[in-house]
Amino acid sequence: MTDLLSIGASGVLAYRNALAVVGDNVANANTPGYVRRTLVLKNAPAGGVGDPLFRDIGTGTGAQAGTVARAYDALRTQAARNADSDVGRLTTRAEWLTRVQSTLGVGGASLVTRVSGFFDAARALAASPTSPAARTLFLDSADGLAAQFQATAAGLKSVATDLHSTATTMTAQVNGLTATLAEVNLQLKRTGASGEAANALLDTRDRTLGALSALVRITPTESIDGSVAVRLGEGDGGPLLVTGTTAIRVGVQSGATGLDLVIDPTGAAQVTRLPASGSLAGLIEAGRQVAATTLSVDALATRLADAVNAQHSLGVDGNGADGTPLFTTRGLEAVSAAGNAGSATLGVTVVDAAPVSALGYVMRFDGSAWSLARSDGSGSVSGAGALSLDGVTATPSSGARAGDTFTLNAVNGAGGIGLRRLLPAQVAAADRWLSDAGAANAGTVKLSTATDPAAAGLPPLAAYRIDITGPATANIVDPATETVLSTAAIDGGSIAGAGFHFSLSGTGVAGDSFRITRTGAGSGDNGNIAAFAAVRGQAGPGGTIEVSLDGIVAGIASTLSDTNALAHGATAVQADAARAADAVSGVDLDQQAAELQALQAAYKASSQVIQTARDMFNTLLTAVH
Amino acid sequence: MQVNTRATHAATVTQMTVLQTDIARLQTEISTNRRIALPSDDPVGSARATQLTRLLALHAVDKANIDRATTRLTAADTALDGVGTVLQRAKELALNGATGTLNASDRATIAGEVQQLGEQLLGLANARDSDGASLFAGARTGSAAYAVDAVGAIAWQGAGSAARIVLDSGSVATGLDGPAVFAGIDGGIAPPPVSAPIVTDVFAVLKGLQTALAEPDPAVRRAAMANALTGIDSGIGRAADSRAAIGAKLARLGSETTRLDTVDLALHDDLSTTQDTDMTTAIAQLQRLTTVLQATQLSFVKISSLSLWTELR
Repeated sequence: MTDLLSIGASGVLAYRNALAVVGDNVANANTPGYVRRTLVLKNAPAGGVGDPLFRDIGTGTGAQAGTVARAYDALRTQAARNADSDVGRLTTRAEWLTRVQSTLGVGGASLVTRVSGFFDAARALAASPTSPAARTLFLDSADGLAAQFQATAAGLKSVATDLHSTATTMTAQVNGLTATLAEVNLQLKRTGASGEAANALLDTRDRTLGALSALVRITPTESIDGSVAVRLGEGDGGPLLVTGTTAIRVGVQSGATGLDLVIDPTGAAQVTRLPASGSLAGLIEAGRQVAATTLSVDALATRLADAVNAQHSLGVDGNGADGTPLFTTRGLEAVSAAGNAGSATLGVTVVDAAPVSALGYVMRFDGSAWSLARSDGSGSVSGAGALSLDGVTATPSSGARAGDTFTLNAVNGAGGIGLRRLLPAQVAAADRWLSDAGAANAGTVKLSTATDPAAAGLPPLAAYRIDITGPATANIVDPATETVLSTAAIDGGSIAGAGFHFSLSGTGVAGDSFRITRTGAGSGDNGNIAAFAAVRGQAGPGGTIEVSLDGIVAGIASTLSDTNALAHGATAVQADAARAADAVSGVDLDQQAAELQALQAAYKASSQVIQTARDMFNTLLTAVH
Repeated sequence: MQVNTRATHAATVTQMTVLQTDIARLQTEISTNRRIALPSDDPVGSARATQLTRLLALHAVDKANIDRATTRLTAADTALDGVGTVLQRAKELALNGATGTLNASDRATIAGEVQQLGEQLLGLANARDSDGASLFAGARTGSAAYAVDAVGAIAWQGAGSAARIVLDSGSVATGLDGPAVFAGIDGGIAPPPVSAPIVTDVFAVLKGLQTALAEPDPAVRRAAMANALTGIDSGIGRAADSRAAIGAKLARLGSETTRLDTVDLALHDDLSTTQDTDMTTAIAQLQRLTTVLQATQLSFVKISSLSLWTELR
C-alpha cells in the first residue's frame, strides 16, 4: 500500500514538474529566442533492491522527471541566422544607397538638371549675346551649378562621415556580442550542457548568435559542452571571432576604396575580406559605393570646370577684354588641430583667381605671433593678426594659446568649385577675332580664323587686312600704316597671326581684301558662347559630361533597385527560414493547451491513486481493528 | 508539425505591413501621377525620362532663340522694305531729273529731295532691333552700322558678321551685314579716261545723283545720271535680293519651329509613357491590394481568436 502511495506521489511530482514546464513555455510564448522545453518523463527504476516484506518486486515504482530538453535544431537555426544576415546586408545597403541617391538630387535641385540648365543658359545667351538679362541668367545658372556641386560634395561627405560612425558603432556591437559569447562559453564549461541553468545559458548563447549574425555572417561550431567557436564569414576559413573564452575584436578603418574591416584593430590589425552578408557588410559595401561616387563626381566637376574655363578664357567679354576662367576650382577648408588648447577660430577668405597651393597651408600660433605657411614649407608670413599668403587671408579670432595650429586643406573636385564674382559684362560671349570680306570681292577666296593664344607669327595689332595679290598669293597689311607685314599663300594652310591663326582657300582675284579685327566692347558676336555647345558635346571618359553624370545616377539607381529586389526576396527567405526554425523551437499555444489538459488529467489521476492507496490502507486498518 | 504562435503572428503582421506599404506607394503614384518618384524605382525608365526632359528643355531654349532671331530678321526685313521705297523714289527723281526740259533750279529742288532720301537711307541702314542692337553692323551691334567718315563718305563701321543661332539642323545667321546689302553694287562705267566698271554702294550712288543734278555740263550730267540710274536699279535689285534672303531664313526658322513642335509632341508622349502612372492599372491594383489587405485582417482576427485556451474552463 505504501508502494501505491509512493507511486501516486511520484506521478503527482512528475506531472507537477511537467505542468511547470508547460507553464514556462506558455509564459515565454512571446519571448524572442526562447526555445521550447519539454520534460522527459521516465519510469522510476524497478524494484529489486527493496525489502521483500514491503515491496512486490514485480511492479514498478512510479514515474520520475527526467531532464528538461530544449527543442533545438542546430541546422535550421543556423539557416535562419544566415537568412537574417542576408536581410541585414541588403536592407542596410539599400538604406544608405537611398541616401546617396537623394544626395545627387531629384528633379529641379539635382545635379543632372543643373548641368543641363547651365548649358541651356549658354545656348539661350548665344541668341542674345548683348542682353544683360541673358548674361545675368547665364551667371545665375553657373552659380547654381557650382552650388549644386558643392552641396553634392558636402552631402556625400556627410554620408561618408555618418557611415563611418555607424560602422564604428556596429563593430562595437559586434565586439559586445562576441564578448558575451566568450562569457557564456566560460559559464557553460562550469554548468555543463544540461540542466535548467545550462538551458538558460544556451538560450542566451543562441540569442547572441542571432544578434551577431544580423550584423555579420558567422559560422559557429558547437562543442559537446554547448560552448561555441565563431568564425567570421562562411566556412572554416574565416578569422576566429570567439574561441573558447576569448573574443577577438573587430574594427573599421578608411582604406583606398572606402571602409575596410579589420580584425584585432589594436593588435595585429589584419584587414580581412568582407563577410558575405550582415548589416556591417552592407554598410561597408555602401561605403565603397559612396567613395566611388565621390571620386566620379569630383572627376566630373573638375572636367566640367576645366573645359568651361578654357572655353570662356578664349572669348572676349562685353568690355572688350579677354575672357577669364568662369569657375574657381580649388577651395580651402580650415581644420583646427585636435590638440588646440585655445578657443580661437579661424576665418579664411581667398581673393579672386588666387594661386592657392594644392598642398594647403598651416596657421600656427607661437604665443605672441601667428605664422601662415604653405604646407610644404616653401613660403611663410608671420604677424600679429590676419595674415595673407598667395591671396589667402587667414583671420584668427582671439583666445589662442601657444602651439595652437590650424590646417587649411585644399579642396579640389566638386567641393572646390565656385563661380568667380563676375559681372554680367564679364561674360565672354564673343569670339576674340572677327573676320569679314570686302564688299567688292570678286574671287572665291574664303578666310577662316580661330583663336589661338599661343600664335605669334605677326606683330600684335587691333586689326589686320589681307590684300589678295594674285590667284594664290596675298599680303598681310597693317591697315593703320598700310605696311605689308607678311605674305601669305592661298592654299588652305594654317598661318599664325598674333593670338589667332587663319587660313585662306579658293582662288584669289587681285584687289580683293579681307579684314581680321580684334573684337571690341559691346560686341554682338556669339561665337565663344556658341562654342559651349561643343564643350557640352565633347566626349570624354564615359561620354559627354551629361552622359557621364547620367551614368553615375543610373549606376546608383540600378544598384539600389537590385538591392531592393534582393532584399524583398531575402525577406521572404528569412520568413521561411525563421518559420522552419520556429516550427521546431517555438511555442504553439494550442499544443501547450492540449498538453496542459493531458498533464492535468494525469496529475488528477495520480492524486486519485494516492486517494485509492489511502482508502485501501483505511480498509485494511478497519479490517484489523 | 507544430505551429509557432509568435512566429505566425509576426509573419501575418509583416505581411500586412508589406501590403500597406504597397498601398501607400500606389496611392502616391496615383496622386502624383508619377510612376517613378526616385531613379531607383525604375533605373532604365528614369534614365530615359532624364534624357527626354533634357531634350524638351533644350527645345524650349531653341524655340525662344528662334523667336528672338525671327524678331531680328523681321526688323531687318522692315528696314529693307524702307530701303526699297527710298530707292524707288530716288529712281523716280533720277528719271525726272534726266529730262532735258528742267532748268538748274528745278534740278536743285530735286537734288534737295535726293539729299533727304540719302539721309533717310542712312537712317534705315543704322536701324536697330527692339534690344537696340544695330541690324546691319555685323557683330559690332553696339554702334551704328554706317557713319560719315573724315572725307565725307558714308562708310561701314561694323566688323565680322551677324551672330548665328545654332539649331539641330545647322546654324542660321540672325541678320545681313551692311556690305552685303548696301555695297558692292554696279555703279555703271566710270567716265573717260578710266572707263572701267564702277563697284560702289547705295550711299555713293545717291551722292552721285545729287552731284549729277548739280552738274552744269549736259554731256557729263547725262553720263553721270545714267550711272546713277544704273546704281539705283542695282540697289533696288540688291534690296529685293536681301529681302528674299531674309525670307528664306525666316522660312527656315518657321519650319524648324514646326519640326520642334512635332518632335516635342512625340517627346511629351514618350515621357508620359515612361514616367506617368498608368491610372487604369494602378487603380485596379489598388483595388486588388485593399481587398487582399481586408481579407488578411479579417482572417487574422478570425484565426487568432481560435484558441484552445478559450475552450478551457
